[in-house]
Amino acid sequence: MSVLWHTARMLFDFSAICYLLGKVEGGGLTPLGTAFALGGRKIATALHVVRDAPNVQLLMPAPLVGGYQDTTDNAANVRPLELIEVDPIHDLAVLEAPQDFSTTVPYRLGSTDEMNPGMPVSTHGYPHVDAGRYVLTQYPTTVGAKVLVATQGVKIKHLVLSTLLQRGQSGSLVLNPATKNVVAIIIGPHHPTGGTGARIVVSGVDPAALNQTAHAVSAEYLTAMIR
Amino acid sequence: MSELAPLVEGGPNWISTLPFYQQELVNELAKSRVLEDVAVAWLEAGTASCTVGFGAAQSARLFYDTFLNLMHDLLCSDDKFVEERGKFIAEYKAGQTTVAASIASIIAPYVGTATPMLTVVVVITLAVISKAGLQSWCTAQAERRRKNGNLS
Repeated sequence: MSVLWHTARMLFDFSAICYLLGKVEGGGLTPLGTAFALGGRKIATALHVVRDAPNVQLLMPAPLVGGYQDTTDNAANVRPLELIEVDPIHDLAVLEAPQDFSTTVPYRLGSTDEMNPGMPVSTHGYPHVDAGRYVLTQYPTTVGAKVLVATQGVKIKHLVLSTLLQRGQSGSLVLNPATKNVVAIIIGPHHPTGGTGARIVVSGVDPAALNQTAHAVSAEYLTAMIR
Repeated sequence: MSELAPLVEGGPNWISTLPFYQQELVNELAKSRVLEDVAVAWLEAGTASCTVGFGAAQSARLFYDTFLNLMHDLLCSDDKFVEERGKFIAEYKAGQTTVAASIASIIAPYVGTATPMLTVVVVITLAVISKAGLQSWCTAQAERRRKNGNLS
């Protein structure tokens, strides 16, 4: 049984197209972050989620129970993925699933160009995976700002979203429900030092990253990777 | 080394062998850097400068030095990577592989990173070798390793 997720103008079964990624480690599976289908066998995520993981696996969603995600069902049905395209400047990656895996997606890739501050979007990802919580969760939010940032001197289009991120949400799609376009991909929360300076972590949480200032990179860079 | 020289010296414009989006990025980075520093910038990038990078990335410069050591062993030595080099040359002659992707797949397990991430660094290094000539590049790398005290 599938459940349709309500966004402003659409009903999608996001559980069929938004995935949790993990890596095989010590006989078990360590969760890495979120990914989403691009159609066919291709899957997209943020590069930092998978760049150092040699055995990336896609965790197939467990069947719903009466429309509910069953948090007591820890049996993981996994599929191996191959990293095929990398763009470290924009922090994006494309992976490929086995030949018997195929998806049809109800959205197209757009761009942050179509968004303005105040416009509604939704994100779909797996927060708190470091705590063993594997629940696909929708966060309706708004665009807080459109900004240009630089990586290695290359200017990049970002959306700043008014939402708090938790570990596991990197790689989540950002949907514009008005156009049915994926306009951006979550890459991480704002950090005053960019995560490179001195950091204090309390119970696994960096207080400096606890802010409603999430960054998402424009999906147009992903389009260039799958041409 | 003599068997590999024609493959790495007389090759194409190496940067043009990359997918177009990667060509554009490498060319953009090269506007303000020499090619060796483009390779370091490629390795160093991963998250935007204003966000938290999840995971502990190695120092890109140290990583690049390790990569160069392995590339030097592969391309310039006679007694290291013997089996891998033989297999690579045989596959290349049979038209079953491409130079950069093969070299990346040989080195990637030693540095613990994904082959597609390393392929771009290999291509940039091949572009450097193409300009300098393999013999000169090997000599320069041997000198660098002697200075760093890691030539074994």
